[in-house]
Amino acid sequence: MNRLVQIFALTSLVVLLPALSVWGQALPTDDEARQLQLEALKVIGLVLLNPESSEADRVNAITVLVRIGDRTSMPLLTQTLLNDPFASVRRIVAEGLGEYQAPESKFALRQAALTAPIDSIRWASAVSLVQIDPEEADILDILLSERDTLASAALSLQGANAVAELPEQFHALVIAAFTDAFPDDRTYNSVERAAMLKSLAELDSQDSADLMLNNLNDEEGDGFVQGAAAFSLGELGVLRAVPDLIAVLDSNDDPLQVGAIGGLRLLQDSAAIEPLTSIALQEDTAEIRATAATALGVFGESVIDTLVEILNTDVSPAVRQAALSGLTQIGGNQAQQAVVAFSTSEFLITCDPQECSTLALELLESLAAFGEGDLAIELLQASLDALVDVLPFVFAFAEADLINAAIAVAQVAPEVINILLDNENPFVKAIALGALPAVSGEFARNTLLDFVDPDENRLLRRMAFEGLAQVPLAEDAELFAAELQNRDRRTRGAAFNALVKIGDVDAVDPLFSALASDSLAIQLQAVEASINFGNRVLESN
Amino acid sequence: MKKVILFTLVALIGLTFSFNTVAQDDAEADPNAELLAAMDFQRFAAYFSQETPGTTFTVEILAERPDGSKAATVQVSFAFDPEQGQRARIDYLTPEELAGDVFIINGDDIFFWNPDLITPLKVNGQFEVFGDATVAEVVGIGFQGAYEVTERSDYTNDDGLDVIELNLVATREEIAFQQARVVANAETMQPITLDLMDENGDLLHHNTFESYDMVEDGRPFFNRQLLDNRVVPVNQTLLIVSNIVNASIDFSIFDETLLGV
Repeated sequence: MNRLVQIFALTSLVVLLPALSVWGQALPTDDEARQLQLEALKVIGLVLLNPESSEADRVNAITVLVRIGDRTSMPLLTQTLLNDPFASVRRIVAEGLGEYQAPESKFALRQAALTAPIDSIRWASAVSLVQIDPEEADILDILLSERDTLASAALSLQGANAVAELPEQFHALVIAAFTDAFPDDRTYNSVERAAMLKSLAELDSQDSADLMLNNLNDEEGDGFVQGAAAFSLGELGVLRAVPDLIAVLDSNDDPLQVGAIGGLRLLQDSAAIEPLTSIALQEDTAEIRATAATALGVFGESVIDTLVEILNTDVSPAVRQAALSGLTQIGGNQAQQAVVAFSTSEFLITCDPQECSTLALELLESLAAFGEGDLAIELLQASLDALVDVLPFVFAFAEADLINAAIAVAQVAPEVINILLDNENPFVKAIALGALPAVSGEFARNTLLDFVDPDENRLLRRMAFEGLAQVPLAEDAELFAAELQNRDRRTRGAAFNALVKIGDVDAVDPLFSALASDSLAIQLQAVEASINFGNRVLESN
Repeated sequence: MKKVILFTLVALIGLTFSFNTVAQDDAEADPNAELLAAMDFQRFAAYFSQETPGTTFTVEILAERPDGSKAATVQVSFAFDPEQGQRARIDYLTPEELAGDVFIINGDDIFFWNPDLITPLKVNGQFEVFGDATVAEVVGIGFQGAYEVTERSDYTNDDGLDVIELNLVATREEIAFQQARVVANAETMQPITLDLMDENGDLLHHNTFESYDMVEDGRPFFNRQLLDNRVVPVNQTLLIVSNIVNASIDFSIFDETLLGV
């Protein structure tokens, strides 16, 4: 069967593997799957009903329950919404209940919307309530008529996800409330007023353009709020705002400048190129130069000379990185030559590794994007040598960036994986193991299996298990089952994920054992895996 | 790579606590010191209890820029033990990508751990910050012992409220903000705004204490503070404090060697 799987994996790894890994193996019965799920829900209930559980434990438990629960979880969810001692826990329920579309949760949601002591919970409950029953719209009227809950609504609706949660039929109501409230700068602080404008943009309120333009041009206005107005005009695509946005670029007010640069980047009008170039080359504050350099990147070949100048001369690595990103995005011979020249310049050699580590990673990805594999390998090795003393630290905070850079390089120079694997530093090896599944797919298995020995370095074992979990076979079930109580959360997580994908009956007992673990962290991972495992089995049988 | 860090908050609240207790005798003799102590009490009293050596509380952080916003929730725990000294711990609860991050402050040492790490990392106080790096410096600033009053004005503000305005200078060179100006409600002594300046009087931070609350036994605390950073004015931060609980805390939660076990 292994050979058969390998052959199919060559052509359609992602689509076919889950099906093939189930083929020929023993599946649990429906009863076993349901028992496992019941046991999992019991674990969550014990955490939430235990008054001694910590806030962090309760947050973890409720996050899992909201994500994987079903209508049978509703009593526990509504009780948690109304009675949990921690606002952070109640907020997670308030935000998540709408998706259940459960009428039996309406009473609790309405009560929370009207009486919860935390305004953001009141607003989140109201949104969930009208998701379930639009007839309950009066709750929005009530909350939008109160200062604190209107402010919470504005802070909440700045993000696209939150806007998507609010049924579209109520957008006009919210837009009207924000539009009315915005001028009242004695009642609402600058953050709340800025949030109203950003929310109006997220709600795609084209009618708000004049409100934003008036605020942008108000000489007595608050710079932070004006910055939000400038950015929001860009979000709304208001091209007639371009002259006003360019006019405020000369302001000495940093938030206004940042907002205007952001707005012009979104509008992509070529009239902005010259003023943005001035800012990117001459502004005193590095953050603003970087914002301008990033904005220039959207204008294509006409700004290559400017970006090359910034790449080669700016004193700030962050500003150079913004220029480099723009050049990579623009592409073409001229950009490629500039990037290659920069990679061989003295700058990175003399720059403090900690200050320049993200610039180096950006450069690696850029060289890879331009197909400069040899240079990329050279730079990768030099960068890792320079970072050797701080590599544990860099790895902790930029693991994904390091691995993505290695993947990008490997796509043009596959030999980089072996070069990294031959390195004695475990963090360098770990980068290779992290990149390997994306580079080699099914063929990574043999290499990864070399690192699963219990005596192997813990980090390398983790990377190996995470890689194997992406391409699991039924024969791996025992290997993964043995890791469900591993001390390392990610190794455990990989094992749980793999067992869910494999769906083998042999996973049932280890999952029950994990649910009974003394460690809540293990229990909660087991809960999520058990519910998903059960659903998979129930759908298959 | 951005991480939320508020550990100095804990350290500075601890500092305030020390000042409150050490300088109590002075406060009784000096009316200005008494005023400063009263203003500290209004902001921080709920964090400290004579009966229990430990406290936990939750802070919702909204880090705002004109072109975006981020939010996080942290739980802060701190405790004092005569033998082990002061310890503090910050657990990140939300968003999900930060949940599980932990900072432990053990004397001068700060340790960071999250489930991605094999072992905890020792970090320094200038570590990367989500939102505004200076938030931590600003939030826990106490007046008593750290500042002395140079000028006092009593007046009615634009909202018709009787207020006391105090101009302050730092009592020691190592204090981060050498000058300050606080405006407080004359009746309750709750600070309303706090400006923090450098030694030349240039404004570095403008803070507004938007609301106050109290724990069950009536001890007060600020529960909503807006921080306007005038040095890097692109950032504004809103902090909302809740769930202050004074209780005994098992000191093992401050042991970095147990993280991840």
